[in-house]
Amino acid sequence: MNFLALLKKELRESMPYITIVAALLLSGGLLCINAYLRHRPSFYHSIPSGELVAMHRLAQHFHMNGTGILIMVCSLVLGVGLGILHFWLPQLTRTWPFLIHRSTSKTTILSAKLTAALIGIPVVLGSVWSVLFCHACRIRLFAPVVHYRILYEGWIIIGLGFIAYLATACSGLDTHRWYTTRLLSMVLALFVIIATFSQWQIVSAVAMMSLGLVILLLQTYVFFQVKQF
Amino acid sequence: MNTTVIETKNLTKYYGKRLALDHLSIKIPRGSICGFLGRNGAGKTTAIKLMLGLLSPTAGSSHLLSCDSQALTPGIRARVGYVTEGHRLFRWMTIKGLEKFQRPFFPYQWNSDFFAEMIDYFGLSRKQKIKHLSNGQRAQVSLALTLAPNPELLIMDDPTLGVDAAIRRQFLEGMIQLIMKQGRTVLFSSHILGDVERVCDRILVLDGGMLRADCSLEQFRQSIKKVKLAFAGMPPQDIDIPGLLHQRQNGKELELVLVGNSDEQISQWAETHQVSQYDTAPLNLEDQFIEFTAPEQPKQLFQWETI
Repeated sequence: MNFLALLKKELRESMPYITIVAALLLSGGLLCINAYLRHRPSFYHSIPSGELVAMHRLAQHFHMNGTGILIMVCSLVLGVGLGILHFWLPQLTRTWPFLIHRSTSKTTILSAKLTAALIGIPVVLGSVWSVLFCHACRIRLFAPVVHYRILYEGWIIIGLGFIAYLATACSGLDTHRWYTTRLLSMVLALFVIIATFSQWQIVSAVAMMSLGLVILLLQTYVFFQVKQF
Repeated sequence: MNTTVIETKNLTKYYGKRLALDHLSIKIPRGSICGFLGRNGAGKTTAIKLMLGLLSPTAGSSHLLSCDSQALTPGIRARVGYVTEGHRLFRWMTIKGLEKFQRPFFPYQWNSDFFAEMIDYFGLSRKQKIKHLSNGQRAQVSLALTLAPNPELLIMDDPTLGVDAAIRRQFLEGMIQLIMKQGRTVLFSSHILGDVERVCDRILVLDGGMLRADCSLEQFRQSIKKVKLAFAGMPPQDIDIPGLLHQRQNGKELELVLVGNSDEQISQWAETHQVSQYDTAPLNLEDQFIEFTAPEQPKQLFQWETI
C-alpha cells in the first residue's frame, strides 16, 4: 500500500516529462526512418557476414541513421531530468522532511523513485524504440535480412539513460563538495557510457553497463540511507 | 508505560566546523505541551531534526517514544506527527490529493471525518492546489494532515512562521482545541512568544545551540525580573548580585535584569548598597526572552549619530 502510494506520487510527478520525451523519440524516430527510406545507404549490406560492428560506430552508421543519436539524446536527457526531479528538487523545495517522516522505510521511498525511473526509461522508452524497430521491419527497411543487433543496441543505449539517472541521483544525495565525491558518480557514469560504446560485442557492452548499474545502484542506496534530510 | 516521550542525552551537532547544537539533554514527559524557544539560528530546527532522525548527531543520543531516533521504525513514525518548518508540501497536489496520498501510511489511524472537519473549520476547499494556497493556508493544511492520524506526539517546527495574526490565532485555537480534547504531547518551536504563552506549559530555551532554560512557563515568568534602582550617589561599578543578566546605567539610576533572584535577595542587596529607592518593573514574556537571550554587549545596527 505504502509503496503503491509513493510510486503513484512519483509517476504523477515524472509522467509529463516521460511522455514528452517518449513522444519526441517516437515522432523523431519515425521521421528518421522515413527519411532513411528515401536514401537507403547500405551500411550493413557492405559488412561481410559475421563481422561485428563497434558500438560507437552506431551513431555514425546506424542502419536507421539518426535514430541512434535520437535514442541516445532522449535516454540521457530523460535520465538526468528524472534524477534532478527525484533527488535534487526535494532538496531545493525542502520537501524531503515531509516525504521521509512517514510510516514507511527509507528503502520503500527510494524503491518507489527507482521504479518510477525504471518505468520511464527502460520500459516506456524501450517500448517506443521497439515500436520504431517493428515499424522499420514492417516497411522492409532491413530487407532482405532483419538486423536484430540494432534492436539490442537501441536497448543498451536506453539502459545508459538509467545510468545517467543513477549518477544524477548520487550526486544529488551526496552532501560533499563538488570537487570531492559529488562529481565521482558523474565521472563513473561517463566512464561507463564511453566504455559501453567502445565494446564490439553486445554481450560485453551489456556486461559493462550492468557493472556500472550495480555500482551506481549500491552507491545510491547507501547515500540515501545516510543522507541528512 | 514510559512517561518520557522525548529524551536527549548530550545531543551535539556540528555542521562542518560550526557548532549548531551543544550537548542538549532534555526529557519531555507525556502530556506536556512544551515550547521550544530560541532566536534564529539557535538550533531549534537542528534539534527537532535530530530527534526525528532526519539528521545524524555528531555526538550524543536521542530517543523518541523509547526508540532510538536514528533507528525509528515505521510504527514509531506513525505515532509521531511532524509539522515541517515552512509547511513544505507537494505543490502540485490538491488538498484532496494530499489526503489520499497520506492516508495509506496510517491505515488504522487515519480519521477522514476529522480531516474534513478541520479543512472546513479553516474554510478551505479540498479542490484547491497547494501551490495556490497562502502560507497561512498551507500551515492549516499541514496541521490537518498531521493531526488526522491522531499522533501521540506532535512535533511542530515553527508552525506559525510567516502566518498573519488572525490565521495564527485560528491555527492555535484549532491546536488548543485538539490538545484539550485528546491530551497529546506537543513540542512546539517558535519565536513568537505570544503563541507559546497561549499554548505551552513548559519551555525550553536554546541560545547559540546551548540549552539555557528548561522549566515551567510560570517558573520562567517569575525568574526574570527587571529592577530599577536609584542611588543617592553614583551607582557602584561592579555589581556583584548573583543572576545578573544585564545592567544599564542612567545617571544615578541603575537598571538590572536578573534571573533567579527572590524579592528578598534583591531587597537585601539594595539595603547593603545604599539604594535610596528600588522598584521591580514588569516584563512580558517577549521582553523576558529578549533579555534572557540577548548578548552581553548587543551590537548596534545603526550608528544614528553619524547619519
